[in-house]
Amino acid sequence: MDIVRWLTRFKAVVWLTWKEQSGWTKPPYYFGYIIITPFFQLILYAYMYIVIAFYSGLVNVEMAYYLVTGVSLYNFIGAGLYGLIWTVHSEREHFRTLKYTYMAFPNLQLYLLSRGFFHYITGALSTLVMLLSGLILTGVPLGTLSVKPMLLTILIILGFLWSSQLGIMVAGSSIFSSEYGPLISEAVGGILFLLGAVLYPIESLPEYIRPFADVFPMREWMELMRYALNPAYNVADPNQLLLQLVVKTIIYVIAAVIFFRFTEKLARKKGLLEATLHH
Amino acid sequence: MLITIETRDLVRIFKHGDKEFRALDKVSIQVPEGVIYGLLGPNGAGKTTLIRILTTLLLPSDGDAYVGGYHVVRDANKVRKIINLVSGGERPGYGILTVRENLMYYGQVYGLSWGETKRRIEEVNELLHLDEFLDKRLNSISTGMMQKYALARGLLNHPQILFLDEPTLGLDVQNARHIRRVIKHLIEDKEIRTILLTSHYMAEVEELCDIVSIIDRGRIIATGSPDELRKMVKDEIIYNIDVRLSDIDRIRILRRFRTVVGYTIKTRQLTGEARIRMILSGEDIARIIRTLEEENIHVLRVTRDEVSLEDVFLRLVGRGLEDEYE
Ligand SMILES: Nc1ncnc2c1ncn2[C@@H]1O[C@H](COP(=O)(O)OP(=O)(O)OP(=O)(O)O)[C@@H](O)[C@H]1O
Ligand SMILES: [Mg+2]
Repeated sequence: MDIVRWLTRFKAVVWLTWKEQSGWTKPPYYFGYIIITPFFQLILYAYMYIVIAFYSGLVNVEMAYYLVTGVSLYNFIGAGLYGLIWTVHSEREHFRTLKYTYMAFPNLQLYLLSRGFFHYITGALSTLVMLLSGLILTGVPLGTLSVKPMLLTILIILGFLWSSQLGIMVAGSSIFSSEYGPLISEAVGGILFLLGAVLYPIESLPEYIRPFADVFPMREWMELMRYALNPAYNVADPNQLLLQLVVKTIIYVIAAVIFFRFTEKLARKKGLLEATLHH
Repeated sequence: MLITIETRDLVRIFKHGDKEFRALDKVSIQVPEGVIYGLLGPNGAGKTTLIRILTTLLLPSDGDAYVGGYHVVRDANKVRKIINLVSGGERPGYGILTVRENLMYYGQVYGLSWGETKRRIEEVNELLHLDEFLDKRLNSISTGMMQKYALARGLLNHPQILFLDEPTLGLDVQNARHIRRVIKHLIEDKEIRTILLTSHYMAEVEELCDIVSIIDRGRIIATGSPDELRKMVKDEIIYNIDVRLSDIDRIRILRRFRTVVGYTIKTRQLTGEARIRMILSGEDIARIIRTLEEENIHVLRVTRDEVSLEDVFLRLVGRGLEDEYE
């Protein structure tokens, strides 16, 4: 009974997000847009790689694989994270619906998760397109890849879990500021990009920055994804990495639940569920 | 008599820097089932603050509040299931969706199935006559339509208790009248069990409400039926005096009269006149008019009037409810 209601709610929220995202155009154009934007982004990186390869005279297939997977996989996490964080801001300041949604949806955290879900789907789509075309463009021989489907599935779920929980915590704190909310989301996205083994291994970062990188499960997730797509990819100890990833994900989930309860309470105390622009 | 909403010594403090501001100061009200209960008060009186607490959007600083028997802080989730809120003068919703799509969305978020929501929209449509704009995009509809849509959304989840914060704010006379008729209808047909509404239009409150609390600066200063409240000024006499707008600066001489309990000024730019509404504690009008004329204030018209809730407010607070001047 109750599960049916929850599914109805979930479906409605995903539908809303789809409408919100694609409402400015017809569905085929929208999908074209989702696919083409990352493609251009990719061309930029591919170009950089080709220039470097050309001038150094080295064609480094491993480096190409690293870059292409990093940049494409980042899309999955980034798209979901941004989408989720922006929800609070746009619902309150732009649509002015946050207070009504808050009263209607039995759990604000689950609402945000449902809102984020759609962004993860589109993120996954761009990732796929970018990954395939990127590998072809940089000349990584596709035939040598062999995907580990089981591990891949687990990683996609874990990636969704930890990053959405991170998003929920950031969204929670963005309740407190209408100006800095969007800024915080940019900042978190940027940090993950820089410290998440996207373009370079974190071993190449200065010693004192590494502990910050370790706060996020991004590195483990990235490395394992690379490994799951291509077992020849060199990771020291996949099992150890997976364990770390699972533990961090669990910590993120618990932290998000606690933190969000706290922010919700504080938001009610300060009356911040309504638009704050006019104060 | 069943009490559906109750507050006990409710306090809400807002902090501005290190200064504290009491938006609600020991507010205690009891709202029985089956009535339209009005909160009447000027801007900044605390009406919206009270509604925000009762609808679980804001925590009180002190005191207790119960809605439908549930504590608004401890049982907030249970409260939310049996209430809904409609605020006037806002444009909440997803502009890119049609009115129908917005309602379909909210119906399902409230926990109705797709089919139930569809049927509910039909029912609500019958009540509010949304047909002409049901399939228009929300960002393209007029203020009047917007308010009907907002009310429709507020009815989707079959709330037992409906909170209406200034439901006719910013509407033209016709739309306001329509909304008021619907509100009345909701209670008469037992569609909604209890309605708490706020307003600073005393005519609206007089027309709609069975019980009224007058609120000013965070305090409830009187409660009763409109008739009971009007009886609070039964010994006084009400006069309207129309003067020229240009004379209005000198009208302060009215304060010299001990019989003038209070007065409000409403300016009418269009005609270049102003109407002064006075409460007199004794029949003294002839002397007052003579003095005004002596001061070169030309009195255009003088009419005696019935007591309204605005006079009650003026009498109790010493200033007008809708004072535009002063
Ligand atoms: N979040 C807030 N922070 C600080 N002060 C606030 C906040 N919300 C309301 N106030 C103050 O509390 C007082 C009461 O506000 P409230 O909105 O309840 O008045 P109201 O009776 O609804 O008035 P109006 O007729 O203008 O809607 C006002 O002085 C307002 O400035
Ligand atoms: Mg208000």
